[in-house]
Amino acid sequence: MKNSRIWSGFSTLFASLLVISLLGQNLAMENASYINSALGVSTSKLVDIEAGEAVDTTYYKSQFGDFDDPAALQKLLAAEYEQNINEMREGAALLMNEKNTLPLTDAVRISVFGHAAVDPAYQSNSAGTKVTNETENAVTLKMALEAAGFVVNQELWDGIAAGEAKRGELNSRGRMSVNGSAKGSEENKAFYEALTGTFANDYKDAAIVMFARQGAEGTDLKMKDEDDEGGATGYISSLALHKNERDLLEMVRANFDKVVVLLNSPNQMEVHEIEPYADAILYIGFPGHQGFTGVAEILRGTVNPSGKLVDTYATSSLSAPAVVNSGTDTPTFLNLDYMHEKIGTAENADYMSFQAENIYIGYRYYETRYADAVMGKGNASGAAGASYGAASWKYADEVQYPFGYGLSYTTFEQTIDKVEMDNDTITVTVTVKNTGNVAGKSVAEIYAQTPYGAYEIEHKVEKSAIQLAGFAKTKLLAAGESETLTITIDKYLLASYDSTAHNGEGGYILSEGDYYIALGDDCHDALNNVLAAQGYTTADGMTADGVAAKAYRFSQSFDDQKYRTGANGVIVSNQFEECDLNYWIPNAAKYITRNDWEGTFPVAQTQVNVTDAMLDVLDGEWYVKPEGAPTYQEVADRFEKDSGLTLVMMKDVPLSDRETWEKFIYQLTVDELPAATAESFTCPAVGDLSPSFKVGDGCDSVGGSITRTVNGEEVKTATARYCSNPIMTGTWNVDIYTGRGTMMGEDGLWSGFMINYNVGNDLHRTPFGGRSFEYMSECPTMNYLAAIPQVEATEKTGSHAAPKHFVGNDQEFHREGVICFFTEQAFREGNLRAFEGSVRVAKSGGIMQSFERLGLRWSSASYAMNTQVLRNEWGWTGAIDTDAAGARGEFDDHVGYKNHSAEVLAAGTQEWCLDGSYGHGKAIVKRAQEEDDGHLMELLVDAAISWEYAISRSNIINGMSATAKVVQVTPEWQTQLRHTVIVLGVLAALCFVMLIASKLKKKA
Amino acid sequence: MKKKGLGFYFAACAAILTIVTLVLLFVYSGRGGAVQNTVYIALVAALVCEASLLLGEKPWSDFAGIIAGVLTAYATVTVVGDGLWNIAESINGIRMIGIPELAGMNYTLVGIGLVSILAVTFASFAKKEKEA
Repeated sequence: MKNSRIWSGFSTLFASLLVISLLGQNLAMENASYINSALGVSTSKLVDIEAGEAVDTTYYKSQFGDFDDPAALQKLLAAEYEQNINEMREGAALLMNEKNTLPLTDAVRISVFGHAAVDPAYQSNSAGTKVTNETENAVTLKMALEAAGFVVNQELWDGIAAGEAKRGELNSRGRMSVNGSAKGSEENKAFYEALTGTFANDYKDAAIVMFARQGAEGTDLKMKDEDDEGGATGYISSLALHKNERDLLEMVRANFDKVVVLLNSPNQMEVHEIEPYADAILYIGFPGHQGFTGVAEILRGTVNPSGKLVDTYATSSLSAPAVVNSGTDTPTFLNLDYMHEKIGTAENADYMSFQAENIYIGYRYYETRYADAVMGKGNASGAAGASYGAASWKYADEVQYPFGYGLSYTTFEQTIDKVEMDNDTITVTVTVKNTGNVAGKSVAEIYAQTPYGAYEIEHKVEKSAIQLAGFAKTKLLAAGESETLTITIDKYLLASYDSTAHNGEGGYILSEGDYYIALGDDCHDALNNVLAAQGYTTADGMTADGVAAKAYRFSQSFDDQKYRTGANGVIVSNQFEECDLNYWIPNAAKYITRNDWEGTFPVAQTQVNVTDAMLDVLDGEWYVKPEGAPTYQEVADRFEKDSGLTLVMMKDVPLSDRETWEKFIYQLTVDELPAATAESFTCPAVGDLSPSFKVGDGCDSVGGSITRTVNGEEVKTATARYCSNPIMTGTWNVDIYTGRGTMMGEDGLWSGFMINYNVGNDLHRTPFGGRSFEYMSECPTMNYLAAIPQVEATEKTGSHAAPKHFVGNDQEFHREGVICFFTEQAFREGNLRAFEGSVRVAKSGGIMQSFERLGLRWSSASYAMNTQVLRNEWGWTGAIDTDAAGARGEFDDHVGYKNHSAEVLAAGTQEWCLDGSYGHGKAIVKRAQEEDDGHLMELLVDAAISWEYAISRSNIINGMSATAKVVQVTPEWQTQLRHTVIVLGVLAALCFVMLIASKLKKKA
Repeated sequence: MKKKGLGFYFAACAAILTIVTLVLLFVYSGRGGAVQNTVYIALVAALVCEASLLLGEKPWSDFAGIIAGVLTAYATVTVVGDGLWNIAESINGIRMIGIPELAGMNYTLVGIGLVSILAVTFASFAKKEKEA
């Protein structure tokens, strides 16, 4: 071989490797936060500059004991799983129980059917700890049943486990990826027929059948799904029973006297199709680590179910008005070519969801239409929106199980003792008596009806005929035992947003007229009680006669002043007029009004042409340097001033002491400032002010693992996966909500998380939401009320709570950039109200925003939402974080709807999620320099103050003395990577020199 | 008459793989995958270099191999860097800011790129032609 070829070969090899390592190094540095998180390495350490007298620096302690005590960790884990099980014990809702089939007190030898039984959905794909049958500490359905004393048909179980049914598709790595379809999720008829021998003569005490439905982050359940082979030829809803499931139920029904169906689905299946084959139906959602224990206890009867639905189970999952323009059926603009020609495709602006339903989501639609049908108002009985092509709309044909519904093994009698009013609250006293034979818990559900009269019709103020107002749950009541509950209702929850109030400025009003406070077993029962109090009966078309004594009436005069102001006297006024499609294209579309159901129910999708005026906003560029802004240098000169302040010194400094906070921040260099805008799984240290730390993420598990040394070895234990949120919310138990908040906070505390993005407050706008399992319910008031104790409990632990996805992320399909059009009333009383409990009332430490657009602006770039509502109206001071919006390096070309960094910052957003290399922050500094814009720099300082304020109120300061300084350290992998690049560079250069030399030699 | 040496076949292999990569990238891009224009330019330039190796032992042959290797390395790492979220989301079974369905193509493109680099490296070591 010639010398030149040898050196040519080596040059090619090393030069190629050099390029790979160089680019790889860049890539690794851009993604350093993920690598550090995966490797568990920190990029900072603490140095105590003055050894002072020993003080206890564990500012946030665990209620389970010292962090270095293995026994404390065991107590924590035990408490996590107990919380998980309690959620199922009190959150699973018994929908049907014919002939008292449940509990299975005497059943011993049972047969379990359904692919989901052997391969359950413990959760769906999103953030947080993942649980499978094999996961440490996971309790499978079979384990739980056996622990409850059942003997499970093993041969049948093994036979089903050997099947091929699956929920989703195998991805490129051979893993199952959820696709929102139910096709093929159950074995076919022939498969089960081959197993009939396993239960022909034994295991006949009862049959348990489990079905599952799963969406995922980024994947809604399909509104147009395919049936199993041999089934319907057209599209069916993914929430409808599919052919294989129906065949299975037929076979089981024919072979067993007792058939119990478990719904392993947080999304509302079309249960009416299951009922003919079942004796009992139990909704169990996703169980998390050990929720099946609670399921088995309910089946056995050692636990009496007390869960109540937090979603409406409609007969047809496609019957809600919100379904028409959303989810997997979300339409696009009509003139996409024009849009792409004008602003390109990177702005992700193709899809638009016109929220024609107005305020009528979930039960607020079905029950309001029912009330109007009974009262003969608003053309409510018309055909528009009637399911299955019916000629008229009838409640009994539309709703299977209403919001708030759930059976018990005992019976209760509930009575309103008294209702007391004061200026701000209504206090309802309810006595609950267990009138049955076994102990149980009961929920006192209090609903309200507010007036819908001439003013409301004229001013387009919509009213739900019934709305949740408050609730309380009893202790375990023995047979014959009573308990008196007191429920306090905030009158604010009865106010309506009127965008025409105050001469068009808008604001909340209390309508004039009769108000009703009603007790009910569910929302429909409560409405019937109100209707009874108004004189209506079954003769008017009611589904049942109500009990007038369970409704309390009071009168209110018109009041548009009571809720006129928010925090610090800020006037509450219209902020979201641009989010109404009719603002851009007059009379382009109709929102539902209960004054005319027939004329406004969306019977077809709404699609429009995007206009030039809309495109001007959609291009995302609107920031201009304000007049009078300081120069870049004026602000830059304030930096690098050592004030001697440390993070611990700031832990008691209020935000109102702006001067001290600025002194703290101005110790940084300008180059260090952008790090304070970076949120990621491992957040970077901010200069020498605050260290690197991790964050938790997940609404039913904060993820992460707790590492402790046991017998000299490091042991990692994953934090618990709790039940899906509709199950937790469905406990209607404030103690359970508090417990969830406490345990998630403790999980975060032990994992070293500064903050946990752990509270799912978005609404179940339709039954198809891919992340309904993470979000609480379809009712904004329920989310408001349930989140308060959860967030308050988490905040007490020193690991902050942050609700997500603020706000309006109620579909996964094209969630990135989807344009949502709505009325201001619907948004404020719906999406915003659902978060208001977490944020304004419970004062969460942060929020995570969402991907969709509010009107034409990305939620993170909405000044109305982030500054006007959050900061001004609500007076909230937490950290505002985008959803995933990492920038690569200093990439900021102003193209792509998440790359308008200055606009996002100017809107009030202060952190970029998964931007561990703080590309957005760097891009803003660069722009501030280029445009001599000190205002942008000051906004960055504001962001840094918010971030450091949150850090200073968290467990991150544990172990830090008042004199502790943060020193940044370079992780070992970065050093090794740099060395590799240098070595390869030298080798490549050497070989190239040798190549040239050999060529010259040959030439000579 | 000169016969084709081992280097010729390695260069031919590298060139074919580069063409395959270009075709795959068009498909990948058509499905929404992010491909920077510089990647196409780099690959076309690499293809020209690899093709030049097919002409036999030329004064530029030693350098053409180096350039082809470097450009292919650039293209491979750039494509995988731009497709990192496809892979991450595919692994986690979620859909966030990437296109998880394209993860398989990302793996394929990385594999082909690395084999292509190896091929051009071997081509650089080996004779492109030998005397008959």
